[in-house]
Amino acid sequence: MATESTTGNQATVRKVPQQNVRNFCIVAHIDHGKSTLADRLLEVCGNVEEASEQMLDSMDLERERGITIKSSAVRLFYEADDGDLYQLNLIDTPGHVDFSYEVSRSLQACEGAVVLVDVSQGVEAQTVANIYLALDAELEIIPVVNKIDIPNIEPEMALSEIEEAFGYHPDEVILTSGKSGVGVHELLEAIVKRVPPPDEDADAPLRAMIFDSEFDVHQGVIAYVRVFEGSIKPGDEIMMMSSGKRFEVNRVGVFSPAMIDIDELCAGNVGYVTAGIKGVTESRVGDTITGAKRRAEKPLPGYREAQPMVFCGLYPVENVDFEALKDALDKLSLNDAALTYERETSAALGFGFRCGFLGLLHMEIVQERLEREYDLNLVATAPSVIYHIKLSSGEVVQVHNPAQFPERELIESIEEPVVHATVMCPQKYIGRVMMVSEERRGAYLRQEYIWGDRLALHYRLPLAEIIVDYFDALKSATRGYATLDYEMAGYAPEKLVKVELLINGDPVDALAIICHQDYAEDRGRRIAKRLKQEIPRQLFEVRLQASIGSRIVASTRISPLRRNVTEKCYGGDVTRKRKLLERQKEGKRRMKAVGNVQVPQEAFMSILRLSDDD
Amino acid sequence: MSGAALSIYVHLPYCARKCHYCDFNSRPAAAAERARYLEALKTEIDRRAETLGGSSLGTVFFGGGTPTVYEGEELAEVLDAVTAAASPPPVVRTPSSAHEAPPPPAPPPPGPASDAGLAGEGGRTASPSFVCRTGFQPVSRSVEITCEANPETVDVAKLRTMREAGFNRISIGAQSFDERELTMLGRGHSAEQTEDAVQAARDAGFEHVSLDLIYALPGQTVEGWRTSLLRALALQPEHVSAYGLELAEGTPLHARHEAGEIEPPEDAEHLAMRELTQELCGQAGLLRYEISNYALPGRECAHNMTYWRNEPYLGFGAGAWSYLDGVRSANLREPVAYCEAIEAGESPQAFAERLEPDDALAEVLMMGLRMTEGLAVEALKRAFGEERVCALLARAEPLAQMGLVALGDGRVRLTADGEPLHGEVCVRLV
Repeated sequence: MATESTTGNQATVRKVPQQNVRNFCIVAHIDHGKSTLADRLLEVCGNVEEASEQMLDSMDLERERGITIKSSAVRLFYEADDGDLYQLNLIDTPGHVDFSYEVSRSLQACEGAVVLVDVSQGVEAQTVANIYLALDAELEIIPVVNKIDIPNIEPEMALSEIEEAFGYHPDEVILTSGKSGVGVHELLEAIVKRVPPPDEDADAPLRAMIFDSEFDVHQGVIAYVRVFEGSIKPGDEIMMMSSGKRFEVNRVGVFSPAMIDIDELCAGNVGYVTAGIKGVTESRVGDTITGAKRRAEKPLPGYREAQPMVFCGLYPVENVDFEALKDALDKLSLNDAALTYERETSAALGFGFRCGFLGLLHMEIVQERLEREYDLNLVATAPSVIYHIKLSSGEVVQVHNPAQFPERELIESIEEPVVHATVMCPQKYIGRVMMVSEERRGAYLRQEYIWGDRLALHYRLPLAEIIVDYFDALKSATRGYATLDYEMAGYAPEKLVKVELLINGDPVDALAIICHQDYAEDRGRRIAKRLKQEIPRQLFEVRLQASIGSRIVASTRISPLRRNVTEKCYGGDVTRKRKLLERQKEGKRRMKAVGNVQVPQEAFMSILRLSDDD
Repeated sequence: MSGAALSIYVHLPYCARKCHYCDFNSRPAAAAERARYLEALKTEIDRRAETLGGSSLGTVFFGGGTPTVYEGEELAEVLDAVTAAASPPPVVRTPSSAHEAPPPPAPPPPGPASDAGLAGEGGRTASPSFVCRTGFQPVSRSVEITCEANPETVDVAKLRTMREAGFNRISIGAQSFDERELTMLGRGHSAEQTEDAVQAARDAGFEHVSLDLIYALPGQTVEGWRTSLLRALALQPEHVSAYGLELAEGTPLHARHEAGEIEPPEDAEHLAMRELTQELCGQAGLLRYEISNYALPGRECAHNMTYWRNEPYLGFGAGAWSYLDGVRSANLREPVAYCEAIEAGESPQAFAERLEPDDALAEVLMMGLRMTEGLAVEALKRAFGEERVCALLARAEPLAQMGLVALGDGRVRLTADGEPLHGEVCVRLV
């Protein structure tokens, strides 16, 4: 991120009185146009000459996936119709259920929330979840129907849904188009008029909440903070209330969206702090910063440590890349407090790491960044949750790797994490949603009408099923209409077993999964069948078997490759054939040798993602 | 390249009709275009005279298309252009003594026969020329000069003209001796015409006849292949190229396969046909010396060996490839574009690539392992360095244990089991 010089820009920093400050965020379901609308606000408020595509999303990955992973905060100046100048602090929030804790912290930093509803999609599960989060944080809510530029779609439907679901009269709802800019002025006016100014005590001891942080190689951590009480300025000694760690402040400032240093960040304001903090684990989202000398009595409420929910093994395809993988994880974790990793050894895959993630999306993002930014060639094993296993000895162990599942005879009982899932969909799909949920061991809780024919179905489901393919299955069962939101709901006992896969008679630890005993045999058969498709023919016959305990439940064979030869090869063919050889070599490079069998990277993950054909 | 002689390839891209399996740079064309092409070709050859002048002429190969869509006289003109270009006054030898004579000492290395070397290097033309492996002049029996032919395009008169012009090896596209198969392949001749063509070649004085055959055809059985192959061998060719059918994308046969109309034999049957080929050819005295090639001992195709041994060659004509001084290059593929470039006095070259050592090694391996003789480890080490070759041998070790590669007497080669897996072995070796 570009840093503007301190002196040059301070002249442009305008002071507005506290009552003219508004802290707000925009919350929306994925693809409801949040980033485009935010860009438009920046443009209208003159922060940028002309909004480049989604400038708040700074990571390439975010742009590609069209989602915001890291939230950002931008200060806008707006001259309202009443003639006053207002300072609007826009806090961008992540838009995925994996990051709901981060969302809740971002909301905490605001007094108001703009809730976006896509005119063509209407109220979705995440809209509901976000509104509840915002209401919990006691925020003033400004409902917005966005994308009204889409031709042939009238906003009435979305307006009625909002009224039905949340009780907002259509008159209270702003109609906007981030694309064309329609309604942006009205939205800014609504923010000024409806969102209350921060009510803060500038003289109390410092209390600032970290709602995000980012690692920069030159400055260390850049903590995004909302100051609730007191103030913070360079030279201050500060303390993290969760850990007691102290730092000296180097810089404070605001985002415009480029970083602009200011003298002091006062109560009611949003900005950044740098203090030579070495990694984001020392600057945890939700933590409270206070003065080291003049301490606040209590931290701000709501802090919790990021808890990884989903685990998988990450292994370099080439064992020599282990150190490179370790370095990359070390670096990534500087910027990702939720990522955990510890060394792990697999008989099949060699040395690697067991990594913990907030959810599947988080896992995929980390994996992709490792491969793309660090040029690593990785094998990821199928994701797992944490199981609580009570042994016959009475001891309780936590296991998040199927390979380390204790022998069946030693297990007294097993508990697995469950979630409370809310699925919203049109009424006509309710049967399919129920089928998909029940197939995945979902326990029906209740249902309610949100509006018209739109229903919310509540299920209790094993987290393990969610991380497999629940959402994908819902989407395909409802032609894309279903939306999903979920929250953790503790642990529940379940009859689970380990299904192992054997290649040429040897169990492959990286291909083991945990599943319900009633489904285990079927799962074993389907995994064997799937692997038969995934693993290319080798120079010898490959025997694939699935077993539960010592019982073989499925067995199949991959016949050997017998012929692979260019029949005709003369002078004009050499270059083309060599290039073909190089491509084949590249394909081989993406295979992991398990014993003497070459297994494609994707095969390890495929055992969880079984389609109906398997 | 140990002062090796330079092999010449001449591409004649035209044919009477496009066969249903063919993805070569070939097509039918009107007489005017064919004539225009011939002129362009001769011009290109003349222009390269100075590149050629200092080298000894190794082999000459006229390929296509169907070169014999041209008249014998026309082919003779092109061959004359090649020999003239390669030929400052030849060193005259007495044929009788030269026949037994050991190969003369290699000439001083011709020096980089640079592509850009068209600008005269006067000194070079004075160096001894035509020091062929067997010490003969180019237009003599010992310099192999091949022309490809299709049965329906040759008769004794044409073949005699060719023979007299210096062609001494004829490679006839027989493909099959089963009429239904010939129809499926889109060939323009009958089995009988092939037999007639071979007889005509003999009558014209060709002592070296090669037959091209294709097996593993859709619907073909091992017995069907036996019948075809025996009929081919009954013609007593000195050389046979037998290719398993490959369905190349863009060809009618490929499309029919995609549409589910035809299905080539399973691997097991394909391999059985391949084994039968080796067996029957062997009984006829033709030994396999390359994945798809069989010959009477001493009658291996010297020209094609230059490819497999990664020796230099110079190609003329549309889409023709050259390999000189570690640079692979190719001419414009489309005949008309090629003609236009030549006529405008421009280079017809469309592609050139200097090979990095790893790429060069990959090619040497890929090509060399096609031959039963394999590759000499010492020669590899000299060319690519101890380290690279040792790493290669280490990769070869597991393949040797699997019985696909034979390491011994200082050579690396594929075993009988390894040959049908040539591609897989190469991927693991490079």
